[in-house]
Amino acid sequence: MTIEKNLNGTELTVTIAGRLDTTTAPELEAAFKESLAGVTKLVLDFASLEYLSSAGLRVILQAQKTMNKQGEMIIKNVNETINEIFEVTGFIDILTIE
Amino acid sequence: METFNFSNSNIDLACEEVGKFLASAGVDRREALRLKLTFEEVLLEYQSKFGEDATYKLKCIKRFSAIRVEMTVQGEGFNPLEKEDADSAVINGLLAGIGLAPTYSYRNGKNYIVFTPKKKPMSGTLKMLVAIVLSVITGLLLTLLPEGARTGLSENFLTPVADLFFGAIAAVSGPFIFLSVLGSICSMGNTETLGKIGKKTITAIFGYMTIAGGGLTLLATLFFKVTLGGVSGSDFTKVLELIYNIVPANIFEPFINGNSLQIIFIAVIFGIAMLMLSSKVSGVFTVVDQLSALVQAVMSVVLEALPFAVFVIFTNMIVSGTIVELLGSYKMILIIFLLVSVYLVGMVLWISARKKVSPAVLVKKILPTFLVALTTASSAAAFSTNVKDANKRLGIDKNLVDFGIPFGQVLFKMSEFAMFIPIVLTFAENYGIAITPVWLILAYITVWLISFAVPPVAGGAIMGFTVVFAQLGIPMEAMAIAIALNAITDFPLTAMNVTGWQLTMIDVADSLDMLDKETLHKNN
Repeated sequence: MTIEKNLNGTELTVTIAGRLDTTTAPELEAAFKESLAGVTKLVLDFASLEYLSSAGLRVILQAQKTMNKQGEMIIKNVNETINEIFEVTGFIDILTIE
Repeated sequence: METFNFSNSNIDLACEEVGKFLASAGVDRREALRLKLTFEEVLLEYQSKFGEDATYKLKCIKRFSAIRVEMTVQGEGFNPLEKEDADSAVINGLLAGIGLAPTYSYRNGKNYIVFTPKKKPMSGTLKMLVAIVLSVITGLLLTLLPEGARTGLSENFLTPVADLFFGAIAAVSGPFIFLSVLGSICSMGNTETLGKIGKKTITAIFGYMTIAGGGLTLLATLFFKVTLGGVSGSDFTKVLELIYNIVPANIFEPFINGNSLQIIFIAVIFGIAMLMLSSKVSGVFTVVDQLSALVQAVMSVVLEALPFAVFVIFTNMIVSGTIVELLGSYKMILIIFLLVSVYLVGMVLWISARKKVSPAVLVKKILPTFLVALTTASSAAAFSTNVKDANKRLGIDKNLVDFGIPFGQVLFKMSEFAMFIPIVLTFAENYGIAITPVWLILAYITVWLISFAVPPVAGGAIMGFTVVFAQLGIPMEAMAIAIALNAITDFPLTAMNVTGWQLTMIDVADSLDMLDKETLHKNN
């Protein structure tokens, strides 16, 4: 998995590519921990995300909770596979997906 | 059985393995994805509880149509499926949508989690349709044989083979019905602990099934000739006999004689006794669970032969010429479709009038769930749409939806009236059995009992046919037509149950003050 961060003022765009699973989820968790301070808008770009596991969902949920307090979080470019995962977990109702 | 530890890389490995197994076992893709994610959630919970170095055993089993994923974790008792903290959104979301939830138990210092997914329901239906097509071709070819050869083939081969299948079904039906009823009562007892919600839901199921089921029975009767003249006092004693005979002389007799109504009675008595003793017989609850799994596995084995049995029975009917008489039974298909339509339209109008919502708006809201159920014949496939729309579009409180939808899927089977009644009426007419008011009451009571006694699992309908036919004097050979018909009408009947229960839930929610009427009235 690769994580690419792009900070524009208080808007942070995080592009994630590859598999976000139990092995790689801690990397994303650490990336959020070090970057979310002061961010008012978090954009997650999932265009190249191939798989999202339960551990990955936990990290996304945590980020959503953080952003609920300090701004907003948007997920964009969600492919069919990832969208299906959001659907079966009920996350489609919790997250803002564009 | 493989042993893994709870390290992150091993969790990914095990999840991949489970995902591959579920796909190869023929589990529906979305259900497999949901189970795989749930399995990972379970592993993450144990990782957090016991650490990365702790180990667990994983076993993926596929025997006939039974699929099981079992994991065993040694250590103190910990149920990862019952989380109520802030981080439980992932597992709760998964469990809400899952067709058959995994089970947890703790025995001899070990935690057991068992997943029992089902195969795609379509495959069985397709097999059945193939069997019917093949039997028609074979049967027609065999009619070219001289009459003597045809009779010999029918009497010496086809009939005995068909009887073998009926014998196997009869052998399993006693324990199957007994454990099913016992299990239902035990789970109903648990819902009592939920208090008002559980009681209202159960009352709605019994009330709607009794009244609407009676209405559907009467409607179906309009298409058949009812013999009114010959009703005598002795006829009505048959209804009383049914009630008196439901109490067996001893607890073994019903199983030996295959008297299903007596078996249901014994199961009810045992179920009530178990609920009364509750924790004193906690071991028996586990035994009942395990025996249910065992009997369902046996049933799966018997059902593996179902397409072959249908092939033999149909071929036999063509060879012996009985099919010609029964082909006139196309009428029952039309009646089944009529009953489904009348019931659904009636329910929409009833709920619209009671809740003062436009029927068009209500139809728009229930349509997605109806269409999924209609096109897949699977309440599990319609589950996520059902849950989502019941809450977001119909305005039913989420707490009630999470409990009520899966509960209703097991117990609310209005389709039994729409299917069994036209079938038994048609066969009664074809086999010259007089349809008297008393016979109709017997049919209604038997179908009512069967709708609760037979679970919505593979083989349930066949078991139901066995009991209803025996009770109403219909020959078992008619079963092949009934099974074929069940395969054809399964789609609208599933839609009837799923949508009917969704509509009934609006009423339940309102009576519990758990209905957001603004959402229900909104045209979204």
